[in-house]
Amino acid sequence: MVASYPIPPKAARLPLRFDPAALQADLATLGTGEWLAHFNTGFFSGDWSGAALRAVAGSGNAMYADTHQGEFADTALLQQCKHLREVVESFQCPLRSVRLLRLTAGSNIREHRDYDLGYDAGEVRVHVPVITNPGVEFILDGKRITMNEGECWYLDLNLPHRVRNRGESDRVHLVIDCQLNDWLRGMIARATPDDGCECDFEPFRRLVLSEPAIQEELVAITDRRTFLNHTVELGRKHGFDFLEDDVDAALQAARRNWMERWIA
Amino acid sequence: MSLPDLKGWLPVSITRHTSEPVVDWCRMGTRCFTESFFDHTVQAAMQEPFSLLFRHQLPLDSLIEWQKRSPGLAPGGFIFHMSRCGSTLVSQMLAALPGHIVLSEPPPLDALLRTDRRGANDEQRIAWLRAWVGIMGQPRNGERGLFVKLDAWHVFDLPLLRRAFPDTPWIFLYRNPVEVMVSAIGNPGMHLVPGMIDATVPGIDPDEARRMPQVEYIARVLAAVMLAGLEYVGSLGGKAINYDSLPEGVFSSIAPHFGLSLSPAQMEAMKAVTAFHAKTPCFNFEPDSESKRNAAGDDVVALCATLLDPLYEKLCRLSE
Repeated sequence: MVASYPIPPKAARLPLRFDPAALQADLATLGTGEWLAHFNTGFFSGDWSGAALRAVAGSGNAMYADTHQGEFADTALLQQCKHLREVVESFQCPLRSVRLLRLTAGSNIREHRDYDLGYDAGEVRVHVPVITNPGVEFILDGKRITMNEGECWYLDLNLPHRVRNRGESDRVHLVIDCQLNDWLRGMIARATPDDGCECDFEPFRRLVLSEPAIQEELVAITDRRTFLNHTVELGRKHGFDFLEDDVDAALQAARRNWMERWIA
Repeated sequence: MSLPDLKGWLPVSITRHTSEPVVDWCRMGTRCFTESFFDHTVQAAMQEPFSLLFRHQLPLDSLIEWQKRSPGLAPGGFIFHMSRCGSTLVSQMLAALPGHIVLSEPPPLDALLRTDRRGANDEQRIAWLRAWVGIMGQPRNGERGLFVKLDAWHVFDLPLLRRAFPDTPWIFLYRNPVEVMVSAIGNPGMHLVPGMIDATVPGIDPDEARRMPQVEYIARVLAAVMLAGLEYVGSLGGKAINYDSLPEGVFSSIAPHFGLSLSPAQMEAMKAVTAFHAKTPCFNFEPDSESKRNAAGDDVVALCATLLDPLYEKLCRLSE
């Protein structure tokens, strides 16, 4: 009999938990030379870099996760990181790329979608936060998902997402690309779904809709840059803490929503 | 229900697929519906970041509530038509008249006629239609008149629309069927493709429609539209207007029927529109009736002779 599994939610915490202190101890052994800048340089500002724990030998960049050329194999680095290796080994499914991804304080990954991944396509990316801080904002499909150190998360990264580290310290996630099998399907089925929290822009949107006087300050602006800038300023004046990226993402979402309004 | 302040906001889109339709209110301010079609003006508004980002999404009853507080002009004329017969020319000429609002094939009105919300009966539909048209008729620039051009298939909804707006005069525009057929085959409107709109066409079985050759389907839909126009012009007091009488017919027949008395300056403004192609005003208007008749294939001519020409002749007699 073939087991049937429910369609997974956008984000869910898997029933796996690791010791963040042990993982951070491994992290501390990495030299600066192990970190490579992320190849997608158009996607971020600041420093987004990675260390390969499982990669394709001889590929142009050990950070490539979506290559279908060659076999993935554990790197020497993984061999030297005992606790990280234990995490990786606890996954009872075929693994592709495994990386540590670091977003330094003040850095920012712009909104994008990862089209190469997907539950339907049988490839799933799992995140294990190794070190993070309360100033990290991970926003998936317009909702903020808070992932804590040592937890293990399934995320539907086909959906638009962005990350910003507004904290004082670096954020490092262990990112494991898995091939879906019954073990992983079972883990995802038992995971705790998380709808995320409303972004700070949403209450501001409601305020604007309820106050014609505030509307007057924005309605005549046709230039997108100027509009983003003024909206952030106006938000700050009314005690909100969103940035231009948030307004821009809300605009993109509104455009999608408008274009798709006829789709049932 | 408690409503936000909707002064300057208009219900530009109604999404009807969900069990509870959603009305999208957009802040249109004093923006006029001057494009050839209602939705082109809405799309232009949606290019602006404010409109995209800040929209009220409210239930259908928001229409009724807001219209009570902010009633607008009663519609002064409806334009029904068989498509490809000068209806956009007429609506653009009326739009050139200073102080008049013209809504050309507005999708929200179609959504209200067709919303499948559970329990939506005719009385409810009539209330929504009156509310929507009333709100769209709010003078935002001191306007004094309101006209609506409907979609071709709304001729089937004439009895309901007459009940909703019993005092509004209306016309039915028609044209030599061969010319309409040739134009429609080149670029069929939504109602001429089976299943594109979920309005049922009287006399055509939907399953049969899918198996029918395209040309025959187009002819059968046009026949149904012409038959409805013919029947209702007689029974519901409309006026049949032939494409061949345009643009002079706008001044000699349509304006008096809609109760408009036009000054020479107004007539000049309306005539200026006729130099251009009504749907694509970046092109000059070129008479094409003869070339369309010459382009008709034998199948088109045969279908017209059996299905459409007799209806056309009856409509011509009504216009005399």
